[in-house]
Amino acid sequence: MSYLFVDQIQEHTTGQRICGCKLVRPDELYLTIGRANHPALLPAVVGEALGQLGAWSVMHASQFQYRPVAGVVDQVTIYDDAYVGDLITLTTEIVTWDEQAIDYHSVATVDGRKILAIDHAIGPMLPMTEFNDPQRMQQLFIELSNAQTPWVEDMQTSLPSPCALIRYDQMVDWQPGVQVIATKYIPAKAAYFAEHFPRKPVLPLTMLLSANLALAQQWLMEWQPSIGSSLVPYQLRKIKMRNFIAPETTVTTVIKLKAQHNDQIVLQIVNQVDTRTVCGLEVIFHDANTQSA
Amino acid sequence: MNVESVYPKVKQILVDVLFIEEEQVALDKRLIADLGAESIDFLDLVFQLEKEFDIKIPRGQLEKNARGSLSEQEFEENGMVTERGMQALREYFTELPADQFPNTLKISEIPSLFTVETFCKVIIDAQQKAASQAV
Repeated sequence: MSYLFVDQIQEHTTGQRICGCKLVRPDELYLTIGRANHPALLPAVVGEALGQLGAWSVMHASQFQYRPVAGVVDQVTIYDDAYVGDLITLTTEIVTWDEQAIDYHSVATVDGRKILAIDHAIGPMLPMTEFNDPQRMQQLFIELSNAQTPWVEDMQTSLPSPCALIRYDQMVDWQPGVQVIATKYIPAKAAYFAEHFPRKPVLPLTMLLSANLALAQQWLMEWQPSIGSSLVPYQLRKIKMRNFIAPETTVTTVIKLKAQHNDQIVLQIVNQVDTRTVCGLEVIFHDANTQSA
Repeated sequence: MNVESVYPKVKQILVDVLFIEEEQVALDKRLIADLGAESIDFLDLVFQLEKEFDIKIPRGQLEKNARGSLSEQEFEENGMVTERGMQALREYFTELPADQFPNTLKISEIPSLFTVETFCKVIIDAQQKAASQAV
C-alpha cells in the first residue's frame, strides 16, 4: 500500500510554491472517525500530504539529488477533518531551501474550508540515493504534474475500525491525569515502509504522531469521562524527529500533563528508543463543543 | 550585550531543544559530547534562537565566525582544518579546555567543538551586526 499522498500537482514555481490535491478515498488505509462521526483521513496524514508536496518541489529543484526528511515543525494546527469524498487542496510555500535544509509553510483546505496548517517545518535535505531511486522519483513527479484531478464514483464507506498501525501494544504505566507510558513494536511488514523509504525504511513521523494522538485521546477519555469524547487535538507544537526509527524497533512513549486551563489541556509527549529521545512534541487538546477553531 | 545577559534564555531553549534538565547546562558544555545533541538539534536550536532573539543566523555562520579572518583556502585543505585553521579555532573556542581540543580536525567535525558559550557568542555577534546596520 502506497505512502504517497499527493494525487496531482496543479501549480508549481520550482523551489518556491507548489499546489496540489488529494482525494480522500473510501478505501484509504489511514482512516479514522472524524468530528462529524464520518470516516475521515487521519489528520497527520493530511500533514504528510502537505510535507510530500513541498518535498516534490525541492526534489525537483535539486534535480532529484536531494530529498527532505522530517525534522522540526514549529506548529501544526488542526482546524477540521477531511472526510471520505473530500478533495483536499494542498498548498506549500517554501520559505528557503538549499542542499542542507528546507523551511516551509503549508495549508490544506476543502472547498475553501481550512483543514490543517503547518507553520515552519524545517527538514534536513539528504542525498536522494540513500532513500529512493532518483529516476523513479523524477518519473513520478512528471506523472503527478500531468495527472487528472482524481475522482471516484462510489464514496460509500462504513465507519472504520481504529487503524491498527497506530495502536500501542502495551501500557507500562497508566495514571489518568498524571502520565501514561506505553510501548509499541514497529513491525517490518507495516504497509508504509514500502514507500517510506524504498532504500531505507523508516517510521514516518506522521504515523508516530497519529499513534501519539490516539494514545493521548484514549488517556484523556478515561481521565475526563464527562468531556473526554469531545476533546480533540487542536495544535501540535515544537515537534521534532531527532533520529530515524527503523523497522523492528520498540518505541516507548511517555505522555505527561503539562498544563490545564479553561477548555484546553496541554500534553508533553516524548518518544524514546533504548532510553534515547527520538521524538518530542507538545499537544493542545480542546473541547470541540465549546471552541471553534 | 555580553554572554551573561543572553545565557539564561539560551539555557532555557537548550533544555527544550535537547530534552535535558537545566542542571546539565553550563557555558562550557559541548553540545554533542556533553549534552547529547543530534544534527537536527542544531537546525532546531538556530531556529529557536532566531525567534527568541529576533536575529538571523545564516547557515554556516558559526563556522565562519570561528574561522576569523582566515580565507576558506587558508582554513581548509582536502576536508581537513589546516594548522592555521586549528589556531583560529583555539582562539575562538576559548571556553574549551586544551585537553578537549583535538590535534587535527575534519571540517565536518567542527560542530563537535560547539559549546553553550559558542551559541551565546553567535547571538551577541548577530545582535551587534543588526544594531550596526540599524544605525
